Amino acid sequence: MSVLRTPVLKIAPPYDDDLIRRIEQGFSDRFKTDVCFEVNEDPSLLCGFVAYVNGMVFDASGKTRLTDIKEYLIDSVLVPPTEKEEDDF
Amino acid sequence: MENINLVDILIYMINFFVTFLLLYLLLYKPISRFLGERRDRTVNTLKEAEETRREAEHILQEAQAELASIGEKSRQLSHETIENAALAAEKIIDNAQDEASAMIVRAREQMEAERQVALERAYSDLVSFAGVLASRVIAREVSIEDNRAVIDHFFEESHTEFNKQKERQS
Repeated sequence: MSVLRTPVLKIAPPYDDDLIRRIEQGFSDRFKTDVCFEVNEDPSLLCGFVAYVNGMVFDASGKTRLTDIKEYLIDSVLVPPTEKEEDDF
Repeated sequence: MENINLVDILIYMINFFVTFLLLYLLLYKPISRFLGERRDRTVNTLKEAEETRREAEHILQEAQAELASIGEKSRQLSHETIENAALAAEKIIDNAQDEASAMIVRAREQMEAERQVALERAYSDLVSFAGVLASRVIAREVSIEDNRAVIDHFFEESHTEFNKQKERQS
């Protein structure tokens, strides 16, 4: 088993050691190696975490989800009207 | 035959001629002059009446000609009036059509502008809605269970996706 560069974990409060271990276990299973995070608390994430592992970013934060929802809603409004809608208009 | 005397006969004859002469001079000539003058006056009156009749006929013909001319002028004027009215009506209809087209164009432009305004308003509402949504999410206190649920969901999805990638690669 090779050891990765020190991975970084940004996590929204509240959390406990079990939660950190759950995340480390998940990434260890994924990369087939021990993962030990440098943990940073970040309240701006709202909930969830962002992990930087082996040069990759894993974003499971509520902030990103909300941004995705907002962009989806805006895109759906700004879609040009169909021909039928144009005729009705 | 005893009573017949030549002198008497002569006297009677002279008497008769004298009487005749007197009557001729005193009655016949004035009456005949009077009748002649009367005839002349009648003839003149008839001539004047004839002239008057001719003048009347002439005036009547002129009046009829003038009436016919007036009728023709009236018909012509009526025809011109109808033509002018038709032209005016056509012009009014053209103007109305142009105005209607312009109104339609203006209405379309206004509708397009209102549509843009409505879109901008909807966009603004959506942004504010997203902001409200986010603020409500932030306002609700996130529990450790929420975080655990998010993390479990992430790894479940990640595991599923990872397996699919491996299947594709193999």
